[in-house]
Amino acid sequence: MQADDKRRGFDMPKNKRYAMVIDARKCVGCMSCMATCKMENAVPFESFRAWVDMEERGAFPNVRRAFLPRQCNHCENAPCISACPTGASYRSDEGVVLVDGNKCIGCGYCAIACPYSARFMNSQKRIADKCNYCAERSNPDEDPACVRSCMGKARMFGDLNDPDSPVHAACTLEPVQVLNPEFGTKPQVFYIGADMSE
Amino acid sequence: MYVTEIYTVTNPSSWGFLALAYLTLIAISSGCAIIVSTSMLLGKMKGTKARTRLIAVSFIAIVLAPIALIFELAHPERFLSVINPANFQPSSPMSWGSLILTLYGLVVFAAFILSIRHKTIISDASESNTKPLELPKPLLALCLAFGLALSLYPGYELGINQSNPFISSDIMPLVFLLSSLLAGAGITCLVITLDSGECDVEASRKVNLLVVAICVLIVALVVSWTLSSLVSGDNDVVSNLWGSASFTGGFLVVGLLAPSVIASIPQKACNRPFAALICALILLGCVFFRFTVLFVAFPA
Repeated sequence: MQADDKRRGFDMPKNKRYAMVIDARKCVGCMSCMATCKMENAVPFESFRAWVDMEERGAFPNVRRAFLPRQCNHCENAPCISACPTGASYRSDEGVVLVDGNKCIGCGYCAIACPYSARFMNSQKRIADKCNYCAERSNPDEDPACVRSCMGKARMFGDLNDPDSPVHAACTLEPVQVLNPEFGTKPQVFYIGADMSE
Repeated sequence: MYVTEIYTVTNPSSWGFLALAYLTLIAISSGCAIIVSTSMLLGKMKGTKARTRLIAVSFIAIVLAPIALIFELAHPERFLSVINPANFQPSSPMSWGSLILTLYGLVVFAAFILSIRHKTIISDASESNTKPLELPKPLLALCLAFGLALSLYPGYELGINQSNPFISSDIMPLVFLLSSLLAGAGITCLVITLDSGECDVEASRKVNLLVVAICVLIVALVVSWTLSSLVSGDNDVVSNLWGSASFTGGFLVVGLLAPSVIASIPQKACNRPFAALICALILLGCVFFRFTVLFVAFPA
């Protein structure tokens, strides 16, 4: 696994636990994370690794919009990994769910299995694709593209086991939520201030 | 507070019409296999031609099914890595499905070869009396067991997605099984009437009764799931499902209600045009159900 991590640019000590925290109170719905993700990772036109759900709530004149940035949740108990018939989907030691393009047969079953609809079949690479925290970036210390481009600073990325990391602080100081905990997937993308009543 | 509008992004469906063809073909194959193996184990439907034809339909369908599946893959050349035992993933329903498909295919192939051999022997002996086709009981038992497994596994395979209460419900494997049985019964209905000699009226009536019984069972399962979902508050899923033309019109009306009404008319036993109509409606319903699951229920 360590040799594989080096090949993919994850030349990191094994005790890291990468996670993302999204402060929905700060999201302004600019969708720049969607755009930069597509540019950074050459995502096909019809597909999205990251996207923003927008809801309009209330009756006039008390109408407001709520935004919820979405992506792969890099679940600890990922159904996409257990569903994969060839072992192409796996979880790295740092907690990032990845796809081995050399093993993927493009069956699409992982996309079917994901309850968050985070996966899709990349029409150009002809393999399963999803957010991988920009694993191919040349500088592994750099934040993923969506974090760097977020103008509201709603997105935070880092090592949950590092006390100096912003995600560690956010998870410690603020009440955080995850999407659909009843699925038992243990998502590793945490939300602050997200109204998930709908 | 209430939600007036929701804007989201939906990634394209990862499965297309070849996946639909695959699911339909395995339903036809397993349904025919279950019916012919059960009838032979119980000593029913002694007309050799009906048994041979059902085995042939089962074999042809199971030959075509993996072809559709392979071309559905984005990397068809890597298909062998799925059926390679060294890559078997016990946690993956798809791995189990490929194992069941392979074993079932071998069993049906053996049954087909034996049935062809039996037909050749009868032709060579120039016997006008058709000796009933008999297959070894262990082979029939395997055919039945793998046929049941092949019918059930799509329900478990698709049920891995917990976000949709319909797809992940407990009735899904049962509906897939009953739908496969119904497809087999529809084809049996037609096959029995194809004999140039006298049609077995009693067998035809029993198959018609089987069609009606399975249709009623499926409707009962769907209605019970709907009621329990309404009670638990999954109104959106229920309304999305019942509001879709493929489910209500295609599956329930065309695929279940119409053939069961026609099959319940007693005078229509051994009536070839009506048998063909029942068969066609049932197969359409089989397609519509799987279409609903793949393209209506999942995107929701």
